[in-house]
Amino acid sequence: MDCDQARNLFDAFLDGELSPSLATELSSHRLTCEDCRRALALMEVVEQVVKCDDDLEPIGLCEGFTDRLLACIDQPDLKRAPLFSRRWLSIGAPLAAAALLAFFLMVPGRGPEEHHVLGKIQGGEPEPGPVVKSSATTPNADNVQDAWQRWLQDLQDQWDADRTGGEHLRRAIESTAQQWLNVEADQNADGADMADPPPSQDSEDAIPEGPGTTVGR
Amino acid sequence: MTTIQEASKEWSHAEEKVLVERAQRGDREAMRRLVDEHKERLYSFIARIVGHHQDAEEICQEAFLKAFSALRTFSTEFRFSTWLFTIGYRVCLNTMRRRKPLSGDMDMSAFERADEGPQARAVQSEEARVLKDAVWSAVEELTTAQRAAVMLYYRHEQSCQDIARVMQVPTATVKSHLHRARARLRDLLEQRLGTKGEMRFRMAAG
Repeated sequence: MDCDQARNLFDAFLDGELSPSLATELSSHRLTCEDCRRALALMEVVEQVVKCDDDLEPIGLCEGFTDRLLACIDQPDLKRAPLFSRRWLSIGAPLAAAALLAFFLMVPGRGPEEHHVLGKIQGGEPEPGPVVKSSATTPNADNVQDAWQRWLQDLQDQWDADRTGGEHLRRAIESTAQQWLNVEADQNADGADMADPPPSQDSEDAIPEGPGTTVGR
Repeated sequence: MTTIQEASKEWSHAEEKVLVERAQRGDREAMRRLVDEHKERLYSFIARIVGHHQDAEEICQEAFLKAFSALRTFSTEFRFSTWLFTIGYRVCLNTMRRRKPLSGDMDMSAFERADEGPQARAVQSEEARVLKDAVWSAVEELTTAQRAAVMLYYRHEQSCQDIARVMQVPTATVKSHLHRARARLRDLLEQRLGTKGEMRFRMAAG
């Protein structure tokens, strides 16, 4: 066996894949050839060092690695109630619709103005909600009032079937809607008919936060 | 007849399979055991690949998170450890692509031996220490794929087939990586150790 033949067998020899006869032949060549002996010795040392050397281990994992990892898996937001549950669809969708309606029906014929939309209710008194600038140009106060009335009636029909969850929201939205109507009526110098006053505006419940309760951020 | 080693591996696979199935059902204790079982080996492998211990810990965590997020799609017919290493290796490559090439840029401070004091050091064979330093230094100069193959083959005792699964390449490619890595390591060590290399090997071997 010459050196070229021997080198071709190095990998198989190191992996223990050589037949006994070839392994013996290579071992014999190794004894007589310094270059091949050194080359094989180098690889055997590499194997031993990489396999067994614990002196040069990298800095270990920080303490608490497993706990932190499992905490990441258990993040609360992964267990949050689904956004589009039936309840929120029945409440959030109308609120979102109201917000869009308010945005596009704001003060016709004027430039950008500021309006408060869907204010929060605290202590029975409505507070202004987020400020929305509008450049809507449409219709007059009558149309706005009609739209609000129709929307409120639809909402009323829906919530009649489930008063428990939606009652306070209904009152809050009606109160806010009434604010709009009052604003429109005040702006109408011709004294157009106002909508019938809504039911009592008293409410001690704050609007729970959920989809569609704020607008225009 | 099954050898003890093979029997041990088979039992480990069976136990691992049970743990994985429990984890797939949301058993947190099973997940904890899987993490504790594999985290050190995975971290050691990743650390040698990326050469930066802080990155290695983040990659290790990311690999586990990815594994658990996809655990329901994992078939227990295969080894969880192999799958985990596969994910870890891919995350390593992605991380390294975002960084500059490793040559000369590796933070090897994490791999330096903690200073045990002059007395402890004197006890160790100086020749052995020089040899080990030369070997690891040469390993660092391999390509990422070659280094991964060497680490998985020698340190983690993976078969070429398992390494092929981890690296997502054909088995023949793994053998090619090992072949080239060995040749490269041989050349580097011959340069660094010179003609006295053989003498040092004998001394290191005791």
